[in-house]
Amino acid sequence: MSDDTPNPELEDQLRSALAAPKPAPAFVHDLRRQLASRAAPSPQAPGRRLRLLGRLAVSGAALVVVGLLLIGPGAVVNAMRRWLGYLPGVGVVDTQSPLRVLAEVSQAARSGITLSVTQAVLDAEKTVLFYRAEGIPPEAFPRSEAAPFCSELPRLLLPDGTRLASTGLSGGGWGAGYEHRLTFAALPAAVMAATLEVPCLQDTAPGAAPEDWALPLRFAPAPPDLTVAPVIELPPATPTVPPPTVSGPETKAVPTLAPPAFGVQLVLDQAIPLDDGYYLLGHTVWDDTRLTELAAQITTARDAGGHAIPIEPAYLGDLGIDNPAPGQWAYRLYGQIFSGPVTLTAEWVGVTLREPLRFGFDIGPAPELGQTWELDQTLEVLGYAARVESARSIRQGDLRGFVFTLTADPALDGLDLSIVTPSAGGSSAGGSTGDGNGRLQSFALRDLALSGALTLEARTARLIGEWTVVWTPPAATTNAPAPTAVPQACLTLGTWKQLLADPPALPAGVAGRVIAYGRIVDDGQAPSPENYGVLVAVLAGADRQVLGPGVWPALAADGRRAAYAGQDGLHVVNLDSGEDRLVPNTRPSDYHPLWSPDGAQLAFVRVDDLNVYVIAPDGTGLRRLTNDPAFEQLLAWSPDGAGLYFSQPSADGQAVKVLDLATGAVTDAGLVLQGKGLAAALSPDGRWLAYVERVPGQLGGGLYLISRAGGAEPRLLVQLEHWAVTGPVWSPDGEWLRVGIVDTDQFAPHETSAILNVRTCAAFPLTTVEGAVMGWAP
Amino acid sequence: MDIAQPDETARDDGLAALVVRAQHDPAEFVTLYDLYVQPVYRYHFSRVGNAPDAQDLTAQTFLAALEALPRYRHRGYFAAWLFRIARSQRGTFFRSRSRETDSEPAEAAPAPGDALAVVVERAPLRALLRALDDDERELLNLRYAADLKFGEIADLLGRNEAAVKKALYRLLARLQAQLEAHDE
Repeated sequence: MSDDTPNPELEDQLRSALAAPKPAPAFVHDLRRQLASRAAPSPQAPGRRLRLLGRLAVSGAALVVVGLLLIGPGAVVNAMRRWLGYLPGVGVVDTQSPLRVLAEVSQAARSGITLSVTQAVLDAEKTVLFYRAEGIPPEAFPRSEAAPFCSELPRLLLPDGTRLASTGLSGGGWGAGYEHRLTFAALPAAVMAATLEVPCLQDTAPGAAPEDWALPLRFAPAPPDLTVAPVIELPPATPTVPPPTVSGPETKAVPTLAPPAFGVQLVLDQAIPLDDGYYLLGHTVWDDTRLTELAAQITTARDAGGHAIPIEPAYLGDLGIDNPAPGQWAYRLYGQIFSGPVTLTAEWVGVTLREPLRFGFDIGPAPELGQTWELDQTLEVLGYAARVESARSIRQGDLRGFVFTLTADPALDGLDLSIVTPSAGGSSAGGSTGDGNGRLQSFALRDLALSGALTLEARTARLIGEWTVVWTPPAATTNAPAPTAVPQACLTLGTWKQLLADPPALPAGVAGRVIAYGRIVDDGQAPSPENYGVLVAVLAGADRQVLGPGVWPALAADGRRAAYAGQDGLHVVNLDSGEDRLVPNTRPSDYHPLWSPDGAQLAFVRVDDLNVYVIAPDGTGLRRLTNDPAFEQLLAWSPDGAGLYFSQPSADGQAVKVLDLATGAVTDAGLVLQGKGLAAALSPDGRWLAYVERVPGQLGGGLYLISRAGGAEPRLLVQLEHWAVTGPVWSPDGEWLRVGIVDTDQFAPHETSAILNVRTCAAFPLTTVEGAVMGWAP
Repeated sequence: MDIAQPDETARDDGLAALVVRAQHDPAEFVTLYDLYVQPVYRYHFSRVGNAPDAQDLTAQTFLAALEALPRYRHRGYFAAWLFRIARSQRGTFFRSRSRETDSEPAEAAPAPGDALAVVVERAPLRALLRALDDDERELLNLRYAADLKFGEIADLLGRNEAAVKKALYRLLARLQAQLEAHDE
C-alpha cells in the first residue's frame, strides 16, 4: 500500500478496533430533554438566591427543630443520618462542618474589562466559586471558526503553592461577558485565603484581551443567618396506592404493564423545600436478567384530588451533585400546597436488551428514494410481539436509510433499529416513536448509499406502563383550603389533537396571505433544503406561489413584495411580476430580513459580526446599527418605523431593547425573556407582545401575551405539554395570532400552524401550509 | 453489496440553515444534537474507554456548544467547531481527574457479528494502537471513531487538508507494515 491511498481493509479494522458501543438510549433521550429545557433555562441564574420557605440558621439545633416540624419524630433518625443543606445556585452542601464563604467580592479591571469573584461557598467536600467577566470588546473574539480561542480554565492557587484544577464548570455568556460556576476540591479547614488564576478570558483570541489574571480571595465563616434549605431524608417507600382516575379528554388508555414488570421500583430519597416548590431526589432500582440497562422517566405528579402538579426533570449538576449514583435522578415540583399525598408516575421505561434482536431484508441493487418493501417479519421483545410490516427508503440531510412501520403489543412504545450490515464506517442516526396503541415507526439512517442485503438490529426499546411512588409532603403544606394554582392555557394538547382530527374551516374574516419557510416539493421526505424553501400562500384557499430555495422570508406590509435570505445574500421579490433580485451589498451570511412599515428599508442580522444592519431594497443606505459581540436577534419595527425592537443576551436572559434609528440610542423595553432564543412578535399597533417562554413543569414552551403598557400579568394562551410551540405572527388587524406547533413525537417533526383569536382563544389549524409561517399581510 | 462513500469535498451547506435556525431558536439545537450525539459520544468513548465518562463528556460538550452557539460563525465546518469544544472538554475532564497522560485507547467490545477468530485477529492491531503517540491516536479517533471528513479534521487541527490526508495515509501504511511484520 502506498502512502497516497488508504487500505480499505485496514480502515475497516480500525473502525472496528475503535468502535464504541452506542450510547444508552436513556442517556441520549435524557440529555436531549435537558438541552431542550436549557434552551429555555430556569429563571434561577448561578448565584441567585431563591426565596426560601422560612429562614433556617445553619446550626445543628435549628436543623433538628426543622426536622421534627417537617417530618415527624418517627423519621428524625433518618433525617439526622446525613447533615445536608441546600444553597440555591450552589447546590447541596455538607453542613456538618462549618461553612466558609467569600468575605468580600474580589474584582480586577484591565483595559475596560472587569473580572469579579462574586460568591464562594466552601464545605468539607468541595469549593464552589462564582466568577464573572464583563466588558469584553468585539475585537477580542476570533473572526473565524478556524482561529484558536481561549478554553483554558481558571485554577485556584493556595497559600502553600498548591494549584487546584477545576472539577466542574457551568454557566453562560452573553457576548460581552459571562458568568461561571466553578467547582474545586475541598480546601483544608484552616485555609482562609486563595488566589483565582484566570489564564485567559473564555472564547477570546490569544493576545486579544488581557491574560493571566490573579484575583485574591479571602474567606470567612458563614454568617449565622445564611439561608440554607434542609435536605430532608425521606423514609423508605410506602406501599403504592392506585393513582387517582382522571376523567376527561386527556385520559390515556390503560397500559398493559404494571409493577413488578422488570422489578422496577422508584425510590424517593430526599426532598428540598423551595419557595415555590420542591426538589425531589431519588433513584430507580430494577431487576431483569434480560436487560443491561433500564431508566424510568417520571412524567406526571398528581395530588389526592387527581389534579396535575407541574413536575420537570432537574439537572443533578445544578444541585451540586457532580458524581451521581447509578440510577439517581432529581425532579422539580412546582407548588407549595397540595391536596393530600402526591403520586409520582413514570409512564415509560427505556431498556437495553442483553441479547439484541435481528432481522434482514434485501433492498436490491438500485433502491430508489421513497421505495417501499413489504416485510412481515416478527420479533419477540421481552415477551411482547412486534411485527415489522414494511420499510420505506428515506433521506434526512446527508443520511440515507429507512423508516419501518411496526405493529406491536400496546406496551411496546418504541423499538430502535440500526443498520448493522454493512458495518463499515458511516455516521448513523435512529429512533422510534409510538402512538400508544401499538403502531410504531422506527427509523435507521447511515451516511452511505445502501444496496443489497441489509441486517437490522434492535438493541433498545421503550415500554409504557405505570410505575408509581407516593410522596407525603410536609403536613404544614397539605390539605390547606386551596392547592397552589397551576397556570392553564386556553389551547391545550388534547384540544389541539381534536382540532387536527377534524379541522374546522377558518372563520370568515380571517384572510390574507402568509409567507413561510415550508415544503415546496412534495417528495414525502423529511424537511431538508432539497424540499423546503420560500412560499406565499393564500390563507383561506389553495393558491400558493413558490419563490424557491431560501430561508428567513418576510412579507412587506402591503403584501406586494417579499424578502428572504438566499445563498448569495438577501433577495427581494416582486410578488406581482415574480421578479427576484439580489440586494446589492448584502452577504451570504446575512439573514432575518424585516421590512420597515413603509417598505423603504430592510433590517437584518449580519452573522459575520452578529450585528444589526439596515439597507434599502436597492442596496443603498447600508448602515450598521449595533456594534458589540453579543448575538442580537430582531423582533420588530415599531409601528411608526422610527424604532427597531431587538433582543440582546444579558446575565438575566434575553433583554428586549428598542433602538431609535434617528439617534442610535438604545433603551430597555422593560422585558427580559428567559429563553436563549427569541420567538416573539409585536402586535401591529405596538400594544401587545406575544412570546414563547418556558412553562414550569412542562417540556414544551408556552405562548404568552403581555400588554406593553405594563402592570398586568402575562396570559398563557398555548401550551401543548412536550410539543414545541414557536414563531408567533400577528394578523394585519391584530385580532389573530399564528403560532407554530411541532409534534415532537414524530420521527421527522415538521412545523404546522394554529390560528388563534387573542380575545376568544378560538383556535383553527392552518392545513394549507407546512412549515414556519413568518409573515402575514392583507 | 455496493457501498458508496459520501462526497468528501461537499461543504455542509445543508447544515447552514439548521445552524442559523438553531442560533435564532435554540429549541432547534436538538436537531443538531440528533445529528452529532453519536459521533461525539464515540469520539469520547474512544479516549476514555467507559460509558459513564463518555456520557459525562458528551453532555458537557453539548451543554457547552449550546452556550457558545450564539457566537458561532458558519464557514462550512460546523463539525470542526463542535469537536473543538469536545476536545476542550476532554482537557478539562482529564485535569479534573488529576491524570498526567491521556487514557489508553479504548479496548472496544467486539463489533456486532464478530466471530471469535476476528476478535483474536485484531489483538495485534490494538497493541499497535496503544503504542501510538497522542497526535497519531487523535487523528485515528477523529477519522474512524468520530467519522469526520478530512476537511473537518483539517479545520479542527488548523492544518492543510492535503497534509492531513498524507499524514493519515502514512500512518496507515506504517501500521500495515507493522501488522505484516507481526504475521511473519
